[in-house]
Amino acid sequence: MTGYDLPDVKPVRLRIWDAPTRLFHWTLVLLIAAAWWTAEERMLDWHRLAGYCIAALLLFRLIWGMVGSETARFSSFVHGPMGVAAYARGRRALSPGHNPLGGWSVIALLSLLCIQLVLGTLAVDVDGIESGPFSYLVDFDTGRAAAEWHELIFNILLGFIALHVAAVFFYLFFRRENLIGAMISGSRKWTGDPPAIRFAPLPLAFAVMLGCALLVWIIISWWGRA
Amino acid sequence: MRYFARTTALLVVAVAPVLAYAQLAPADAIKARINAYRELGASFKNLNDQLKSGQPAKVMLRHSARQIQSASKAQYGWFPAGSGPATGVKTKAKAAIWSDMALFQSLQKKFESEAGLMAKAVEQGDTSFIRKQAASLGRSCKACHDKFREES
Repeated sequence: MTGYDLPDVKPVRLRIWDAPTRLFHWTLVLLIAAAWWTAEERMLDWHRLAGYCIAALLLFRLIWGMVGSETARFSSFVHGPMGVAAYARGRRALSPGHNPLGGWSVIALLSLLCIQLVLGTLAVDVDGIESGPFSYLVDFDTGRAAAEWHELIFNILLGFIALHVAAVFFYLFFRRENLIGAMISGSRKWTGDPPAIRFAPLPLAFAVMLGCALLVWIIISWWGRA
Repeated sequence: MRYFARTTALLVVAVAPVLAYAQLAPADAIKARINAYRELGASFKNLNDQLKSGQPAKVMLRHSARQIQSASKAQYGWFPAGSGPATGVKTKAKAAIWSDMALFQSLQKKFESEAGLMAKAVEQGDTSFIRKQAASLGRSCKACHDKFREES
């Protein structure tokens, strides 16, 4: 809790998330909702489009996890089992960004999304009418299996999203840490000496995002058939 | 004796499938139906895959259109009485098929005529017209599924 706060130390605002990471997060929320809705309504043209956007976004995040700002980098928030166990036992977070448990939740969500995208490109509907852009590479039965896994993985994804949201609210109500606000404004309350966080230049994010979008577009329009 | 044996054999060959069909248990009828529709879906996927490629191969279009057309003619026998959801066997066929047979059959006929037009369009060879006809054929599938197939 706040037991370690010394009374004479005033909390400061510490900038932890860069704009690209925040924009990625909230755009992804909207796109997943859009993908779900367009699938429910059988608007498969829009569903495919949502999938392509998620693919570009996801690719961006994977690259940003290697070249982006410090708190966005995988190397800063992916810890081994010892680190996670130590954190779960109540040791304080080492880094101001994702804690060791949250880091793995990020990895789980990103991995599920990757699997989901691949399955979606191969999926075909039961009537053989609507299909993902690469379903022409597989036979009908494989495409159907991909579609069924696509549905299953979505439900697992929903479970992980529910867990993620529940954890965020746990922090809000029981730990008095507003993670939602931090993901919107980019900064959080910090007591003690603020660590120096390296931020990546914004133009780099633009360039990477542009490259990802272009790559997805080229792959879909050259090799995909939808 | 030889004559008798031959006649018997011939009779068995001719009658056996009819008997077998008549004695098809509901579970078998449902299984056969699901398999038949899976093949139909596969044929339509092949057709659509061709149409989505820049240069559809006519031999593939023709093959798929023929499979679809023969399914459209065979489908009248795919819904014997008693092969609905009341059997307890897993099926997406709604009970309304048998309670509203007139409407169901009119939609089956629509599918058959669309499949016939598809085969004609393929022979004609105008790709953009084949695409249009494929969409129209797809709508005839959907029209029936919306009414008579359980949502998955």
